[in-house]
Amino acid sequence: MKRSAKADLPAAILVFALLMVWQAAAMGIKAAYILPSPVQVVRRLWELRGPLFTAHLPATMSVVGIGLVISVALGLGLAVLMDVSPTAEKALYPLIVASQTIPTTALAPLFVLWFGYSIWSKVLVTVLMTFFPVAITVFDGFRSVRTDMEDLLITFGADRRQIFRKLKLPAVLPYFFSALKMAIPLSVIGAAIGEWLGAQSGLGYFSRRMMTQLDGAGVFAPILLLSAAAMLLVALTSALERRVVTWRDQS
Amino acid sequence: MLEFQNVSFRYPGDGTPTLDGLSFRAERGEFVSVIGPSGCGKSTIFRLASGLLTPDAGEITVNGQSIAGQKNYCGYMPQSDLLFPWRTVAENVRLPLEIRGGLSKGEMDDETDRALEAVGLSGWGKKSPKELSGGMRQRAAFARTVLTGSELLLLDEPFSALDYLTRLSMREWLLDQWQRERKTVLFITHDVEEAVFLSGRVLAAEARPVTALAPFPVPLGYPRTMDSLKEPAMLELKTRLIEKLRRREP
Repeated sequence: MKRSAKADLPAAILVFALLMVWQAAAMGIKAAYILPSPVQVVRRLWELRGPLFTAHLPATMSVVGIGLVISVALGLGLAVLMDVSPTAEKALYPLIVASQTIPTTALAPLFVLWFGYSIWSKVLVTVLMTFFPVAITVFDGFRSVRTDMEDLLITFGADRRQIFRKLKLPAVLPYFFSALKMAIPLSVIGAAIGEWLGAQSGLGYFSRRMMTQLDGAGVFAPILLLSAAAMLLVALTSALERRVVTWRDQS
Repeated sequence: MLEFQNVSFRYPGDGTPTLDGLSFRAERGEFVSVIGPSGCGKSTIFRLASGLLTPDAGEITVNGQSIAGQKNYCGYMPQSDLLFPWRTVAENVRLPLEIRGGLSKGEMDDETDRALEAVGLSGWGKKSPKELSGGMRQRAAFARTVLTGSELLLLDEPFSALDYLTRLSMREWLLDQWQRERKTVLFITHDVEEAVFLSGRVLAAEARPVTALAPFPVPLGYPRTMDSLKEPAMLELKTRLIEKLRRREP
């Protein structure tokens, strides 16, 4: 722990320097509705803590949670399917890659038309942004499984199910965690975008409402909360990863 | 024990076959080395014998029965130890038992402990493979191979990744193991000295395609020590083998 704190020092200094520059610039411009200073943002976050933490943060986090679960299930399912069947791989892989060229943000209003202001329009945006890195990263993990290890199991008489359980599943775990760490920030972004475009609650929605009131610090406050939530989730995932994937430094 | 009868094999996309009408046999309890320069098809012989590849023509038999359809007839030990990093040493060693199935957890533990003890690794079972030295890892891999329960062991350059001194002691260690386990060993190497030291018979691979393996009986019984290599008959065999293999160079 001590060592990692030391390693983070340069980044901490840089962040602090950038905040100082921002603070100075904001104080120079003196127009909080255009560029609020970091201190103003934090103060606004504190003033708005009631609605932000009790109504809007839970709303956004439930979108993130549901979106992540669906994305991970869908991404893993697709990766396993493509690993099991080369035909499925040939059919799905280009399609999955092509799906990422669609600007999800532009489609989001359509989802609002389909699902209204319910949670599902936001979940759909989140899933569309998130399942891709899960599917592709985990599938890459399957492809990286060493064929000599697979051969070894075959000489032991292993069938496909045993090869999957004893070799592929554990070998893919580090890739799965990488995918998860990519998916979490993306799902937070997806949820915020969905809420910007049509919602009755949520941090994205709140940020937009403050925009219409020309409350610059009020726009930034929920964004600050969003990144903090994403960072916390990634940190939790990393901690879990260190417990589960103890062999990572080996390969 | 193991017999190749007119076996031919060509990799898809290759112009010339790797093996063409190859026949040879290894008797029960024998230690046979297959020697040849890199890329001559030694490993292909092993991949065929272990069933990872299927011959285009000819037949491979173990105990007089075709290997097609047989399971668990051989223990294959690859060049690199291939210990799974997410398993402890003991969990790696008992992998063949898990896959064969039919044993209770306690029985598996007992067999694993015995196998680890036989290779001098008792007490190391709970460690992670990365905590072991190269030689210890190969010993663990050997214990895993023995736990396949097969009479026939195929060892594919198992010591090639080790440093020279470790290799020397692993050779003596392997002979000990072989005399204790009484298994048939087919051993691949490109190291002439290693082949002469270990084997009862050395088979030299001809130029590609391999049509025959030239047999060289080793003129010394067991047990052997490092000094056995200094016997004139052994030195002469070594020279003859080197001559034979060098002529293959263009």
